[in-house]
Amino acid sequence: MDCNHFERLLESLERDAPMVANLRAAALQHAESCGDCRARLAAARLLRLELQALASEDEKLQTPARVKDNLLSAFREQGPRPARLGSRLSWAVVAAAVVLAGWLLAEQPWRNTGSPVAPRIQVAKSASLPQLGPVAPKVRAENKIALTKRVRRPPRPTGMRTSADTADDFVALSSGGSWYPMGDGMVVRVQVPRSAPALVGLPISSGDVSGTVTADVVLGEDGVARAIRFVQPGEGKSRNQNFDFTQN
Amino acid sequence: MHLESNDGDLLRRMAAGDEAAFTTLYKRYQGGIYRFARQMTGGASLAEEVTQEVFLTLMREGRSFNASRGSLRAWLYGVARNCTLRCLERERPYVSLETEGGGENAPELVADPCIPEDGLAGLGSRETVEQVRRAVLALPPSYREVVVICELHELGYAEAAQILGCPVGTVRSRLHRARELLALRLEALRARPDGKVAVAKPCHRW
Repeated sequence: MDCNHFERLLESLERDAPMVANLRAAALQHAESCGDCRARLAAARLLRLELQALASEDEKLQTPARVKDNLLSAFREQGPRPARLGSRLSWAVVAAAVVLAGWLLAEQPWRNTGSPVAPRIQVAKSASLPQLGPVAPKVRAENKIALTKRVRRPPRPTGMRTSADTADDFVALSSGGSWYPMGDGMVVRVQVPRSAPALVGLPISSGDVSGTVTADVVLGEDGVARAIRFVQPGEGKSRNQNFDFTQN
Repeated sequence: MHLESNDGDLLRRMAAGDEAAFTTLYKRYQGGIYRFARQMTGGASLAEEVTQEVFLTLMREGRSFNASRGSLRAWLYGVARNCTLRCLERERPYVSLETEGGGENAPELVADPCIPEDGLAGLGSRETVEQVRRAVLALPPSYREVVVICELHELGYAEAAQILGCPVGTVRSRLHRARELLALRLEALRARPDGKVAVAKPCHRW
C-alpha cells in the first residue's frame, strides 16, 4: 500500500468505519512504516475527538424558553389554517375562463353548428345556483348572429320577468356538441372580452369591442362550464336584460 | 411506535390547530436547530432568531412538506441554514473572530466527564473546546456547515446533501477539505498563547 491509497482510506480508519479486514490491516501496517501517514492518522483521530468534545459540550445548549412561548403565542393566534379557499377560487375562475375560451373556440356557436334545442340543465342541491328554465338553454341557435347584425330577442314568458328570477338570462353552453347534466356546482364571476356575448349568440351594443365585460359562469363539479350570463358591471344585474334588442 | 410520534401525523394535526402536535415537533427538533444556528453564527441571539423563524416557517408552510423528498429534520435544517445565511448576510458581512466565543452569550462550559483526561490532552477542557469552536467558526461558511452537520450533529452524507442541496460527493469533498482546514487552524491556535486565530474571514462568500 502506498501513501495515496492510505489517504483514501484515512476517513474510514479514523472513523473506525467497517472495512475489509485485510485492507484495514494493510493500512495500519503502512502507517507503522510511514511517519507521515502515521502522523496524518493521529491528527485525524485527534480532530475527531476534539469535535466530539465540542459536540458533547454543545449538547447542553437549549433554546431559551421565551422562544417556545413566542411560538406558542403565534400558533394560538394563527389557529387552524384553513384550506386556501381564495387560491382555489382563483384557480376555479382561471379554469372557468380557460374552459369557456376553449368552448368558444371549439364550438364557434355563431356558425350555428350546435344542437338547435339544448336539453334542460339540471341544477340541484346548491342553493347558490340559479335554476335554469326550459327556455334558456335554447342557446339562441336560431339567432344567426353576425357581429354587426342586431336581432330581435324572442319575447320572454311572463312568468320569468320577476326581479328575483334571473335564470332566464343564462345561456347554456355545450361541449363538443354534447350537453352534460350537472348536480352541484358554483357560479363564478369572470371578466371576458367585450366581444364574448356575440360568441354565444347575443348582440353587442356598440361597435367598440375592446375591453372586458363581467360574466357569471355556472361551473359543474367537474369544472366544466355549463352556462353563462353577462352582467352589468357594478350593479349585479344581468347585462342581457339591458341589451338593445332593436329590430333590424 | 405510536402514531403520535410520526412526523407526518404530527404535521397534519398541527395544520388542524393541534397545539400539542406543534409542541411535540418543537421539542423534538428545537435542540438540534438551535445548536446548528449557534454553531454556525457563534451568537445566542442570532441562533434564537433563527430557531424562531424555522418554527414559524413550519407553522406557515408545514403542510407543503413532502416526505418523499426527505425527512422533516432535513427540511427544518434546510430552513435553518437559509435563515442562518440571511442573518449572517444582514448582521455581519465580516466576522471578527476576536469577538467570537467570549461574549456574554458564550455558553457556560463545564468539563465533560465522558472525555478522558488522558494523554490525548484534556480534550474536554474548556480551553480546548473553545479552541475548536473558534476554529470551526473561522472556517468559510460552506465548509463550516458541513462540519457542523456531519461532525457535530453526526448526520449522514445523504441527509447533509438534502439539507445543503448538493450532491453527496460534494458533501464528501467539502468535508474532507474542511477537516484539513480545521486541522491547520487548530495547529495555529495551539501555537498561539492567546488561542485566537490571526485572520478574520469574510463571511459573505458562500
